[in-house]
Amino acid sequence: MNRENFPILKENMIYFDNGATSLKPECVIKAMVDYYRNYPANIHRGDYEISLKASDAYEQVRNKVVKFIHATSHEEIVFTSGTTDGMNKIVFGFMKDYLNDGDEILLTKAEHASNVLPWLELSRTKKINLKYIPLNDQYELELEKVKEAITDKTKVISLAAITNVVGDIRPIHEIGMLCQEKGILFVVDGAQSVPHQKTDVQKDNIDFLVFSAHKMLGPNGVGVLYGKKKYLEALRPLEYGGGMNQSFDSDGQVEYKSLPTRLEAGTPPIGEVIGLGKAIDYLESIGMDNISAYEKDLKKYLVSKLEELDTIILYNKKSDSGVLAFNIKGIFSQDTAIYLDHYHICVRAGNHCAKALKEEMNIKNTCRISLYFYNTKEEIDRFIEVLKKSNDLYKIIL
Amino acid sequence: MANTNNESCIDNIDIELKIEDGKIVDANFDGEACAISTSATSILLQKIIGKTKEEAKELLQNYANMIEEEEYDKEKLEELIVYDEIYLQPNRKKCALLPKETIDKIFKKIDES
Repeated sequence: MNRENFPILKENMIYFDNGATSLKPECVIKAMVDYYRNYPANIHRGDYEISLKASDAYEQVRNKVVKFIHATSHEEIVFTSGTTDGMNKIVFGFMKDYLNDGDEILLTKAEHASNVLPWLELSRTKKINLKYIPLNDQYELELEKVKEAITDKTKVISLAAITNVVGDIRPIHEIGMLCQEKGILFVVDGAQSVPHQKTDVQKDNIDFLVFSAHKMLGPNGVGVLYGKKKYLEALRPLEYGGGMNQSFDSDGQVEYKSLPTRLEAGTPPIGEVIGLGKAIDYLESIGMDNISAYEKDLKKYLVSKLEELDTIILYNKKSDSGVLAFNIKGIFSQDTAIYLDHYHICVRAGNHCAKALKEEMNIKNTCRISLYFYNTKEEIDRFIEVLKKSNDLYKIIL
Repeated sequence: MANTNNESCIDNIDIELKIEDGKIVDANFDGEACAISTSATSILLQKIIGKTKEEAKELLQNYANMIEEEEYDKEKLEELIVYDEIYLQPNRKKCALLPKETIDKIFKKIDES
């Protein structure tokens, strides 16, 4: 749906790599061009019209994010450079102080690198224990396994709401309730979920949430860190400098600004934040529930079509999100991706930044399709036709 | 023995060489990689068996020159000439050069030991 809003889709291209980044609708591009062309001033410090306009536009996006993820206040929304930046701020700005020796962190092997490496790095300097909750035979996370993994030392559960290879939609609400009951902090990587389904940090008792604009129709270089106010108050800035200080002198007397500005040192990517705001407006105009229902239907169609081909191996056909990992039997995933590119079909080959998952799946590399609402059944049909004639794959790619 | 991960993609190849009296007497490889990487590795290894380290280095350099669009000796490459149009797909040059990079690592190890 809404394909007419994406100029690039007028080309003869099928874009199936939305898990990596999404396409951008014309309105998002226009909003950013409008800022850079018509009011490209810095925020929070100018007393002239275009600076005030830029500041207003920037802060309005914060309020849009509050509503979009059902947070309670603008103080809980920090603009970051993306999910990775957000995770690093949580782990090194907060958890480093919050955690004590012997504390346990629960993760899974299906997590993206940005929800594993900061923790691994922290565990080198702090005696915390990273434990991986076992996945089921479809590499999915079940609530029961989360319950079983919790001990009285568990201090944090850090999970993707939707994983980027398996694509299982995790029972975030139930895990959030469990965390509330047990006094465990709940960190959610929303990179793959916020663009595709409704997010409600209050209802789901999420203590920290991170996501990126570029996977939800917005620009690169912007993301969001949500944190409950009491935790963000305790989060030490990792970056110090302009914009985040109230006053300082050369003797070391420093006063930092209040939340959230304290955590946004330096000039932020203002035009890009404005682009994120427009992306949120656009997503809301379609409706997040409509988007997830459409993608679920499209994924079912994709799986049913692929199952008709006996040359295809599917790794996660049961998961509900629009993510599907597959291989052509006997063909290296990158060769498949290069073959598909010949027909202007964009898919991703590799381990998709979830490098620990290979220990579970016993396979290193897959091709991944990740759908969005602008993909169609017609595109899937074209893709299937190309796969059907893949016995001449090497003729095409070599 | 040496391993190379192609940083720009997902190719991953291990190569083992058996060298006796300065001559490569056996060679094998293992790993997961694209068609270009695996086939180039396979052919190159067959080519360097029976050669001295210096002869192998010369062959590898000649091969790399072809991939990088520099001057090279066609005659000496024999069937490796099938890769003479890889430069048309610049993102695949690294795939074709992966075996050379890995064998170079082995030679470097030997030189240093």
